[in-house]
Amino acid sequence: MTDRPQAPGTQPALPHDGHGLRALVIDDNRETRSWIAETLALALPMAQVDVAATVAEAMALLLDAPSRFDFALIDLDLPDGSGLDIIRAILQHGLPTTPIVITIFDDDATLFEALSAGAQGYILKGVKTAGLVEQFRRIEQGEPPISPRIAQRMLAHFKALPAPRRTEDAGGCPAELTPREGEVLRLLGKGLTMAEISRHLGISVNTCATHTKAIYRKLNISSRAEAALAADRRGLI
Amino acid sequence: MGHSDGAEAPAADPGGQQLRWAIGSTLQVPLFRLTLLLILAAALVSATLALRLAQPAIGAGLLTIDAARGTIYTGREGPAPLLALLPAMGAEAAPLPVTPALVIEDPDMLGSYAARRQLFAAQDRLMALAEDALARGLPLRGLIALPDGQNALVDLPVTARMPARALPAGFWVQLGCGAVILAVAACFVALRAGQSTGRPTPEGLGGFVLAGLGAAVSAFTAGLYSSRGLVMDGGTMQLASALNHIFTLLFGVGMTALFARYPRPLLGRRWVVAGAGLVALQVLAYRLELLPHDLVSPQISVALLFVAIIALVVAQHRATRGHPADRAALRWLGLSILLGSGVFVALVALPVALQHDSILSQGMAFLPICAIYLGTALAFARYRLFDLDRWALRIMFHLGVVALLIAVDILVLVTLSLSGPASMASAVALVGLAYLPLRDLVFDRLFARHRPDLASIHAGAVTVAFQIDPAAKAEAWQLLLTRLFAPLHVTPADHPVPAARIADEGLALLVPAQGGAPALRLGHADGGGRLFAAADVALAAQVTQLVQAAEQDRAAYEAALHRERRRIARDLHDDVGANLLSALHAKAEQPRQDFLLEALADLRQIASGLAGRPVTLEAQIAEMRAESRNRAEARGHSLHWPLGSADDCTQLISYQTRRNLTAIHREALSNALGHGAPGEIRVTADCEGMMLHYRMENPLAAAQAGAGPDRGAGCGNMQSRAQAMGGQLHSAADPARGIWVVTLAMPLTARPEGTP
Repeated sequence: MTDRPQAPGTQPALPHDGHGLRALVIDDNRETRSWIAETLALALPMAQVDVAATVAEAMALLLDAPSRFDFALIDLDLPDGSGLDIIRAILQHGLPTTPIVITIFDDDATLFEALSAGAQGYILKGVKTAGLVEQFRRIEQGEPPISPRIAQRMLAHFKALPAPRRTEDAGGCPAELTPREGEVLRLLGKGLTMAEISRHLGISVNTCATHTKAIYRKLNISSRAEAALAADRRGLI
Repeated sequence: MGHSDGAEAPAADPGGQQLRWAIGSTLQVPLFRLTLLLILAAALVSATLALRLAQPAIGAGLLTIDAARGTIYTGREGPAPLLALLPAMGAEAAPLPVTPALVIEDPDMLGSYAARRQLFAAQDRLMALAEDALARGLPLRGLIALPDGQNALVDLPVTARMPARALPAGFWVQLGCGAVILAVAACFVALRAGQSTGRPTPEGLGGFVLAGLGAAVSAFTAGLYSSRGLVMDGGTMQLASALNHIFTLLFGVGMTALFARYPRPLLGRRWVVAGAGLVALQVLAYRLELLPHDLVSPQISVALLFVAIIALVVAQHRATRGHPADRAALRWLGLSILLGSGVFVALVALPVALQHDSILSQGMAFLPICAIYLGTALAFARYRLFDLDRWALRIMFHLGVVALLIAVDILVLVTLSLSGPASMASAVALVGLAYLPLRDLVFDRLFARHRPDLASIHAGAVTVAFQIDPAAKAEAWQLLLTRLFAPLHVTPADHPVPAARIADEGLALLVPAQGGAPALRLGHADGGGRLFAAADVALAAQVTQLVQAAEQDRAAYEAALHRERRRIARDLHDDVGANLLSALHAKAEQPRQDFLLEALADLRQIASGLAGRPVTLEAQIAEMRAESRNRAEARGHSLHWPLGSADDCTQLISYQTRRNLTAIHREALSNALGHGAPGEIRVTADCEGMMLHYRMENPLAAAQAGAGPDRGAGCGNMQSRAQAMGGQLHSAADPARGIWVVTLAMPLTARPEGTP
């Protein structure tokens, strides 16, 4: 899987002080916005963090200099629209920015929609400062979080896929989960950690993380395929 | 059609009485009444047609009568004026000159009594000629003037009966106009509001109906003689002419009666009667030739009546000042009548009165009069003329559609009968493929009885029950009843109605009050098509019960919903509020953040409870596992919670169970984190049948070892939560193994105690 061309948003791991890292924080709540920006800036002193409060501001910044941002931390509920639109725009324009959702709760239906649309992970606002950096680090290193509730939703999503239809992405990767990925997802849905799962399945934590990334990607592929299929059924395309 | 009042009638002759009630009630069913009147009208039309066809005809198809050019013969010799009629070959009779007076449309158009008498005498001679020719089986002979100035004799065959196709268009126009006018008048009589709702018969309606009758009969009688061609029995013609005279003036009298009382009562009835008497005297004087012709000729009477009508309309116009509705009705009615009658007077009556030829043939002149009637029928849809109700319009609309269908049917039949064999086949195919299905469709749409099925009755009842606003509920209830019984009118009942019952011998159904809706009186089942029956009472009672049952269900549902909301409100207050307060008053930053995080977690669970999403036990355990491990690790403990049988339990659990289970687990974990020794916290959750077995162990700290089973402030809280769920909680040290153990056994389906 490593020889595959890089999907947008899966950047190589960055230096630990955040050197060269550019992030955009989009949240309409001023306190939350500053808290996230300041926490990131403190933890990664060399990183450059910009902020935006609305969809319009964010789009202007993102499209102004398309290669500027490595990460966009996006609140979904914005005054002039949904963060989902920003995620879709990033993917549509092929920007090298990794979209990450900021959310209060990890069982929000909109969050799952955002992940399906291509968000590469999410960060919970309702944590302490140390927790925020930790969450960001994990995503940055390719270990996106999957809460039990999200995992359960993902499982339901993959189960509902039409079995005989083999959907593939551009690189020929099927949209269905492998049995091992399915097992990892099932255990994530039970609230087990990566370490527990790797022990349970007799695999390394790294392999487990690779599976998680694959699950994220396939969720995105299958969601797009599903949307296309639905559009096709409605005669839109 | 007298009003029968069953309640007060003596019971001397129950059988006859009942029969009379039944007949009286049936007569009050508007549709029945209307049908009866329409049958009478149809009989009148048929009689006119039969009488007309029974007259002999001379030269049918060869002669055309033209007011301007006289009588024209059209044969091989080309069109030529007919000068005289000669008897059949071999008969001894003087030739009869064909003068304009002989073929005049209406005897009353002649300028003197003598001319009229001469006409009737000539008609008698003509009749004699025709009968003689018929007896000999020979044609009459006609003297025509050829274009070259020569005269010639032509054969004019005589038939004993007038062939229908030889009748001039004017006759059909008169017959049709008369029929339409009668139908409209019948509608107004049959559907008038007074009869069914106890209101008095509306003012002016009598005059309008009289005028209709006058117009229709004068059209029929005029049709009889003005289409005579040449021949008609003098006596019949005299009678028809007299009737025409009388009924034409009846039209005028009816109109004056109308505008004397409508829209505002201007003149007393005796004035109208006096006027009518004067007109009757004129008729008498004219018919009996008592007064000079020019004083009492029908044209004079018509002109006088017309002036009276105009005067009344002008007076009405003044009287309706400040009554916009009346003014609108008058404007429509008055204008259409003045226009219609004006056309008639200006083009027919006035020229004759001034000794000129009329401009429009009398037959065609009935078209504007017919238009008045149709216009009036349409106008009352808008202005509720004569206080007729909306439902009457519905019936008239349906009647119009039926009439249209019949007309199209006749047209199709006539077309079919006239077409040649080749085109006949395609015409039949077209009728079969297109016309008949379309006709069925229209008929079904308008007239099929749509008795609602059980599903729609139920849906209607539920809709009524689920309206919160009393006005909306009343409206929905009325709508449901209307769908079920299609009554012509729905009015609030005069008295309280304890149970559904029939009133007025089946004319009405009384329905008890329902929720916000008052007791109702439904008048005339199925659009006035039938009487209410026992089955309707049963249906009304069932629907009432259905609505009540649905209302009870809704109340129970609302109560449950309310309980749930109260519970959630209490959780918000007790749990979230307590944590926020603790955060507010916490002295150190660390515990403040902990309290806030806990408040957030509570909020999340309460919010998901509000969203009403069903949660399975396995999902709940997964969430608790993920959340508590984060907490434990943040405090330097490790948590081991292996998969157990509860992780495969797909049993749905209630919000209450979730809240209590989460709270107990959090409390236990807080105690373990706060009071236990560092080390691994072990949790297991298993499911046996419908029982959840939960267990938490943590290393025992020295301070804990001697503590009693009610360690910590939260212990009592845990205990009460477990009991509320019908479960059992034990919390105690196991000094032998050096651990503190919390066990909980809790049924998964138990309803929480202490909730109503």
